[in-house]
Amino acid sequence: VKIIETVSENAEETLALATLGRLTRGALHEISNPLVALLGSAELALAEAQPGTKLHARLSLTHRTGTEIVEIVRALQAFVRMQAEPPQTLSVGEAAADAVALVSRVLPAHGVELAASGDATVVAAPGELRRRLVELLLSALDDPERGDRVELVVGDGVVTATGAGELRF
Amino acid sequence: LKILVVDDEQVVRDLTVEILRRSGYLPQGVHSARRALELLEREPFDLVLSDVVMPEMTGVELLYELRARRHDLPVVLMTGGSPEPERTSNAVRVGASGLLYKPFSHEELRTAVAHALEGR
Repeated sequence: VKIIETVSENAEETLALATLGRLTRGALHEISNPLVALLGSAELALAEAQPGTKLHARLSLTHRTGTEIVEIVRALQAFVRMQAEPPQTLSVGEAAADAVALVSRVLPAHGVELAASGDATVVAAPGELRRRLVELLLSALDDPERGDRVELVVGDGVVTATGAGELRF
Repeated sequence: LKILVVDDEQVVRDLTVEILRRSGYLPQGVHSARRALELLEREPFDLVLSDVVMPEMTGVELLYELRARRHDLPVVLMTGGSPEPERTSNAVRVGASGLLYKPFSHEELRTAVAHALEGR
């Protein structure tokens, strides 16, 4: 009975994650048009406004803020797009740097420096590799004894994260 | 150079047309892929810039139709992280001249258009 309950709970969790993934993908798509409008209009208006005026300063702020939102959306869009790509030869160091950039932008841990170092190559699905590296990074961030620096260190056939174990490939 | 902008979202369509006009192109906007096909039967264009997700006929379907009729017309697809990324990347493999991810800046739009026109 216990085993059946565990399997059922895992299936439930998988379904919940799939639904969440679908909703996230839809939201990222739907938010893109309003962002084109926001950023595009601000950029056009900025070109017309007199530099040094309050209007110009306000439009600059709107444009800058819009750009920050766009960067978060783009980082997530790239991560989602990658999930559909087939296995290929990849740089693990580059994937680790991408994972660090994504987590820094979307889930910034204040007072904690994130970094990646080293390199190796692997044949893998880009989406799966990045997902596993993000999971490794998040585990490291969840560790109460992690300190103020978390680093993904890429070696030959293994990636280690400060205080969070390793990922073998 | 004449550019046909296809997007069912009026705000995005109008902005894209405005940016391209200010960049020295002669853009024209239409709200659907069907309307684009009708217009292309009557008028020559140098490039089609089309959204992917649209009702009735998608940008990918428009690309397939255009490839069947006009092999030399460059098509740039605009997508906001399409809910069907596999189909969008297949579209690039079968002949889209470029893929422009929304949200895009003016510079990214101009670069995508210039790059596609260079490859004609």
